[in-house]
Formats: sequence, C-alpha cells, structure tokens
Amino acid sequence: MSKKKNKEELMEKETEEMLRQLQDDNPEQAQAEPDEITSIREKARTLEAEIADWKDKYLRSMADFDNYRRRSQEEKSDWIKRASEKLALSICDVWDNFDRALMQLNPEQKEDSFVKGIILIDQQLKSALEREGVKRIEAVGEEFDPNLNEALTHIPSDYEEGIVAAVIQNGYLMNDKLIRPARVAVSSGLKNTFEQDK
Amino acid sequence: MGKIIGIDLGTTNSCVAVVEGGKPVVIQNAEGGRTTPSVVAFTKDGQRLVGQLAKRQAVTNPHNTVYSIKRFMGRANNEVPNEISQVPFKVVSGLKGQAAVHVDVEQKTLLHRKSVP
Repeated sequence: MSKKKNKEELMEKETEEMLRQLQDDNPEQAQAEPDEITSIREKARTLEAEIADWKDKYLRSMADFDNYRRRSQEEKSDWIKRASEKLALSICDVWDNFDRALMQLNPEQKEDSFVKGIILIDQQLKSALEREGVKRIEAVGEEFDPNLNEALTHIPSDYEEGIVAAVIQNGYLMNDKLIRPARVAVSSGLKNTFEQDK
Repeated sequence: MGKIIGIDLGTTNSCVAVVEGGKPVVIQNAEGGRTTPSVVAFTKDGQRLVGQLAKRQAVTNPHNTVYSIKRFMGRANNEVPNEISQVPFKVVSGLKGQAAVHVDVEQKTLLHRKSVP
C-alpha cells in the first residue's frame, strides 16, 4: 500500500517537474499555452483515477478469490460428509426392513438357530451404523419437534395433543445431524374427546 | 460496491445466490439444502419457523402455517377466491382491500400488511 502511495507521489512529482521544464524551456510559450498544462494535469488526474479503480478491482478480486478458496474447501469436506450420510441413510432402510421382518417372528421361530443367526446379523448391522454415529430418533411419546419429526397426519390417541402417537417411518441422526426426519402421526388428543367432537 | 446477491422467491421454494468471482453461487441453508420451502409457521408458543421446519409441522398447525403466499401478494382480497379456497390459513381483507393473512398466536392477531404504512 505505502509503496503504491509513494509511486503515486513520485508520479505527481515527475509531472510537476515536466511542467516546470516545459515552462523553463520556453517561458513565453508556456504562458501562452496554459491549455497544454491543464490538459496534462487533467490527463494525470484521469490516470490517477484509473489507477485507483484498478487497485480497487485488484483488491476485490483477491478477496473474492480468498472467499472462493475457503468455500471450495468447506464444500469438499461437506461433500465427503454428505456422501457418507447418503450411504448411511440407504443402509438405515435395511435396518428398518430387518425390524419389520423380525417383528413377524413367532416365539417358536425365535428358537431356530438360523433365525438366531439372522438376529445376530441384525444386531451387527445396528452396531456398525452406531459406530459411524448413526442414531435412530425415538419419537413415540415425545412432544412433536419439527427439528426431528415430520408430521404426516393427526390421529386421535391416548396421548395428549401434540405428542407423537406413532412413527410411520423411522428418522435418523448422524453425528447429531438430521439425515432423515421421523415421519410421524401426531396425537390430536384423547380418543373419547374425538368421539364427542364427532 | 457491495456484494451482489440474487433471491428467487418462489411460490413453493426459494433460493439465494451470491456472485463470487463473476459467477453466481447458490447459498445452502442450515440443513444443507440448496432450496428452502417458502413456508413460514407460527407455533402455539409464539415461535416462528421458516422453511423445512415449517413445512414438517404444517399438518399439526395448518391454520398458522403460511405457504404459497406469492399467489396472494399484491392482489386484492376479492380477486383471489379460488386461491383462498385452496389454503387452510385464513385470508382476510387487509389494507386497501388487499389480501392479508390472519394468524392466531396466543390470542394475538398478526395481520401482515397492517404494519406496512
């Protein structure tokens, strides 16, 4: 910055000197032609303005570039995170389906060694996801929270109004960041009051 | 000369971009989305929710969740009877007969447009 200022001052001095020389060389002419001097001064002024303009543009593009670099770095790490979130979410669907399948088992079937193996695989899948920071949102019985839940419907239930009565699709967090909201049915109040309303 | 930003206020989704190095770059919202639903909700406890959060709770709070507001912007109340029948929130006649939204928050009535001189 100071260097540039010095340069500007230097240029101004040089112009002054040039003007003085012009006057010294043929004093009559210089007095006779003040137009030339004013035009040179004007030119110097426009050049100075142009320099300031370019300097401003240079600083701005540098700042822009700095911002761009910072953002592209952030984006890169974001991409990595988002890619793993996407993968985790698709595996979460498998987790959900395992749950649904295992719910169909009757007590006798649970004693079967093959089924036991399947249950172990289910547990292994859950622990693998949990190690990566994936957590299922437990919503039933909690107050409806739009940060974690997505309301799909209102149903009458034994829960108070505004409490999540049922989960339709499980939601998941990954490292405390929401990767899918839990799709839920929210209680509209007590069952009997609903009947009365009807 | 400041930063140049562009806002696309859409009927269903909105998007903001900033000019960086001569090219527009879309700014992501807190959830990482490039577009944000054009929805604003007023909860019972007086909270104001915007975007994805507002959309998620729309079913539980239909009267105080405002969306598709672009259909009503700058139009007279008696000009939009079809649109009014399509939304669950209450559209009333505001300043100079313009369409306004009536929102109930803790028995208070927020009439947008009323505060605008």
